Amino acid sequence: MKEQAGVFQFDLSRAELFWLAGAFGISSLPLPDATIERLTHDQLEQRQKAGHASLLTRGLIRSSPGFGWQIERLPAALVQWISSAPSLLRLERITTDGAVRSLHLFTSDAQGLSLEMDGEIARFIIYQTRRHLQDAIMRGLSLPSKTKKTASVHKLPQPLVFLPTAWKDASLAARILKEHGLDSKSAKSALDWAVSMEWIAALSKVRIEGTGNAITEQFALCGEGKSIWGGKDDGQYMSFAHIGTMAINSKIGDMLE
Amino acid sequence: MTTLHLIPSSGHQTASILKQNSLAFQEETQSLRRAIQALSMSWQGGGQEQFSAEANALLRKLEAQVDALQILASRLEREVTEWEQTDQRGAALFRGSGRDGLPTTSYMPLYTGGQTENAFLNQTILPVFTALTVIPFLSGLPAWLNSFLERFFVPPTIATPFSKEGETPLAENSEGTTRFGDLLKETAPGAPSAQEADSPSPADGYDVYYDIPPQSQGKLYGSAACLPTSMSMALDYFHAKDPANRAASPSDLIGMLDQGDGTEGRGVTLDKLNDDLGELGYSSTVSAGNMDDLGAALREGPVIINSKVGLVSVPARDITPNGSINHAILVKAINADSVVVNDPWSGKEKVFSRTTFEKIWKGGGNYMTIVRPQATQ
Repeated sequence: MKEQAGVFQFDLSRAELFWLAGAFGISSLPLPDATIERLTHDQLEQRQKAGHASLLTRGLIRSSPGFGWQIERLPAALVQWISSAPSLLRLERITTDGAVRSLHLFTSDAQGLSLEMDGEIARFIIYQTRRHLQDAIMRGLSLPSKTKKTASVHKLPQPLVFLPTAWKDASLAARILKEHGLDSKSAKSALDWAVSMEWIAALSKVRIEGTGNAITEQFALCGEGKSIWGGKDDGQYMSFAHIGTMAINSKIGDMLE
Repeated sequence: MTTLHLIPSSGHQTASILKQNSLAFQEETQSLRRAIQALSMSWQGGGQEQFSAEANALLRKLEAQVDALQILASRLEREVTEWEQTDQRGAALFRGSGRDGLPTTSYMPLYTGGQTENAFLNQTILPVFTALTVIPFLSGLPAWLNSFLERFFVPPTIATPFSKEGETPLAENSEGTTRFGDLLKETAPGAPSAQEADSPSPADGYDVYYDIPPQSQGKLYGSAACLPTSMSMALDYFHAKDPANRAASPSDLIGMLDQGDGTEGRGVTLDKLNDDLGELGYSSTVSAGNMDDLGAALREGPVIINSKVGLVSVPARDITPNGSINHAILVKAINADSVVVNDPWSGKEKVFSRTTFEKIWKGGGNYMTIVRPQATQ
């Protein structure tokens, strides 16, 4: 447990989460993993047993007189909070080295919650107010402190896939642009710009539907050391134009509402 | 291979019938309670007290059965819903891949063009069949988080087993307004044990902490044995400390009561055990005090206080800070943030924030009973 003003961090292991969710009768958890392991029922059961032992060791559950378990209300609240949310905000940030950071953000009344998986650890951070959460999202985007205005606009198809592809394999990215009908001059301009980007991020509003989910709104950003571009969805492409930090902050505030 | 079979529509229908019947029983029980209350107004003496006690005991049994029926209805409903959801998930997977098994990947590219695509897949969880009771036992959380958690787990408001004279019991929570997970909190049939096996010691962080196993008052004395049970827990502590100090079970203490000391189904007045405790070698005093007085008394041993709380009986016995029932509880630990008590109604240890504790104690007139072995006086 760590605490700073208006912010409280609490970690649970994935195995602990599995046991808690199973005991509460929760059939699925919206975890911000890049991949979900294909676990057999036996493997899941083993994980849950390990989680149970760990929760007991940490003093987060105790045997209840008679039958069942007493559970500390903080982990109980966290598990119920994320599992009962009808929607969440998913923040993804990908950098040129291929590192992907994914967070799930939840709100309940005035409070906010972020959930990030760090290997086998689910890192919950509870925010006293939505403002605290909004500030944390802004920090999570790691935006440059000073930005330079630019008038250029660039169109990309599926930017969260295209940019990492361009960073890794420019010739493949060029073929993708060509297949999308861009002439070679426009394609070269778009590709040069794409390769110069150092990160891309997207904040997506996700409606939770059982084990699957659907994006209902998305706000994409990309940038390098001096400039930030905000993406506007025009149907076939996303058009990226200069955006300032105040506008980004305002948009995030809107999406948290 | 075992075949599992369930027709959801039949399940829903049965759950609905169970619920309807439980509501009908509930109405009848309330009507009966009103009739008995009216009778007690127009019949004084001549065995009226005995009759009322027996009738009220019967009513409580009826109410417990109604509660049990409602829990059964909810459990059936939940079971059927889970079957339906599992079936839907299976069907979706079958349509999606033509293969069995769990989803293999959650990373789906984010698309432009106003499409709604999967952002990730949720982790599937195996059910764990157990009962859970949510209890605050972490100390040191910031006040704003404590406040949030108190709002997050709003205790259900239900009819208390003891209504005040002329007051009709309420059943505000009878229409399935329980929070998610509440249905899993019901305890197994049978009297709860007073032991908490393998519990980690919560002594750390308390100014004073007495390791006293909780006891449940159960249905003893018409489910109104909170004071004898609290007293029994206190005596257990002194007996464990020195076997020369006598222990007494709640039943033993009830057996020592004199005529007029208490009424079955209504309880025992706070000071009516004092003379009986004297016979057991203890001195017992009742006084009003403040938190400083309580802290000072606690340094010498556990203290029984009178609280004003709500008594909840479904999904499991519990006490709530909002209520109008005088209820004796044993205080066994205290620190700057919280107070730990053994609650005889639920038979469990409970941790209150100091603010909440002060509220329920104030409601109970700030009365405390201090019982100590006479040799130590």
